[in-house]
Amino acid sequence: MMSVIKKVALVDLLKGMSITLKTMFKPTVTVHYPFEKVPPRKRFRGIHALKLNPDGSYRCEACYLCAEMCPSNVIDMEMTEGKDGKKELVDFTVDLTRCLFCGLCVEACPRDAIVMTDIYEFSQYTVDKLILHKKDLMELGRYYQEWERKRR
Amino acid sequence: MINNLLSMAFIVGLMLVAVPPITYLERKVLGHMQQRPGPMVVGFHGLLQPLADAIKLIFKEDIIPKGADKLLFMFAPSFSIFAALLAASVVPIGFIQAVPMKSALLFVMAMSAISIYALILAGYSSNDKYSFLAGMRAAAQVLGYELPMGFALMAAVILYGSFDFNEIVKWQSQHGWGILYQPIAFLLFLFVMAAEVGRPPFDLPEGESELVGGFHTEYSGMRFAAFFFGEYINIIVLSLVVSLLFLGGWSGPLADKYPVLGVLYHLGKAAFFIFLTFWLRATFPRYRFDQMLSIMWKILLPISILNLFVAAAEALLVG
Repeated sequence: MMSVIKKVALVDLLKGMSITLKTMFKPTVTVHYPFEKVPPRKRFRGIHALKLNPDGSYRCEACYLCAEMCPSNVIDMEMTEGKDGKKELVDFTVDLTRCLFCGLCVEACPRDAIVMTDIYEFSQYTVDKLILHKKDLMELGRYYQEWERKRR
Repeated sequence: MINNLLSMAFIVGLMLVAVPPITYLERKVLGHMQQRPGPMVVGFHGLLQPLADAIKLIFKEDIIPKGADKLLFMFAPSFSIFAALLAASVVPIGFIQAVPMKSALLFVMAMSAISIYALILAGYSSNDKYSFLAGMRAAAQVLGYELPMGFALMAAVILYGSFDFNEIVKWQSQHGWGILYQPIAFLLFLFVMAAEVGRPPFDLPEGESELVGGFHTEYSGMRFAAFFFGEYINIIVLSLVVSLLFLGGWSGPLADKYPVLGVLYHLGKAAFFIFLTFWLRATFPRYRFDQMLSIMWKILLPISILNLFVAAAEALLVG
């Protein structure tokens, strides 16, 4: 009997409508993305960077461990023998078109040379701009240092 | 004569001008009911969004699919607008009356029933199975809701003893609002109104989740926009009619002295019903096709017929 009365009086429908009406006056939860950004989390994995020493030189020793570790063959490097007999990087390329941002290269690095920044907006109009070279990566390394200092 | 022409221009203008702001308001209301702000980027709080939409739609490529029935395909969207505008032309707003007609209510019913042809023709001519299914749904739906709608309105007509909107409002200003006498007819009409204009929860011909876009799957650009113009004009017209029939139209305090006030009363009441369609859309999911038909045929139709007796009794007692 009660259920019939409820149905006739449209109780459920009115209940639902009251909820939507109440929600209408609640504050919105939208983040207006291009104008407002949610800062990435502390351990966010964005695009790569070559970490720099305090004197501005790169830390990479061209051991190829990151390239070996990479599941999708993103990293490639070229090296020669330097003046003091150490390995020296000629080029270090990261192909972002294939990268899946798993962070295994960072895990593998014995010298903490390759790191990941918090940059996630890196769309480009052409494919070749998505292949990062040593120069770009060192640029990003400077950004990373800045960011790391801020984070502390 | 001149008065009538001016009123006609006013009503057609009102219908065409009111549609873009209503689409904006709908998006805002829907957004806020889902805790998001709706359009925000174009202009202050997205106020220019309808303009941006219009520019986009005008410059879109107009595609006519291969194998479509060209003539009908091009004809269907304009049919939607014309049927809606014809219905609008006989609805008085306060003292503004374009076409004074003794049987205006009947005419509005006929025109809003005819507007379903736009959907059927669009579905038939598109040469697309989704559109076709949507057209068939529209046809079945119109059979479902026209009867309860007709009986609900007839109850009101029996009570007021006239098809003329002026007479109806006069009756209500003497005896009190129609909703007090005919709450059942009022509720029935609200239900059926949602089906009539193809709005949720009865938006089966559109059914995005099942039928891609429904009857307008193959339409683009201004032809696509024309369907929505027709739909929104229908919403406005039916909102005006509901407030005429059950909420006393333009009658109200001081409305006799200042006719402009009556217009504002009427538009305000209609605005509530327009808001109600947004509200229903935000709240209810779409009915399944068989559910919708069984609601219409098994519940609403018997209730509306029984309601006729109530109306007859009331007419004897009050009238």
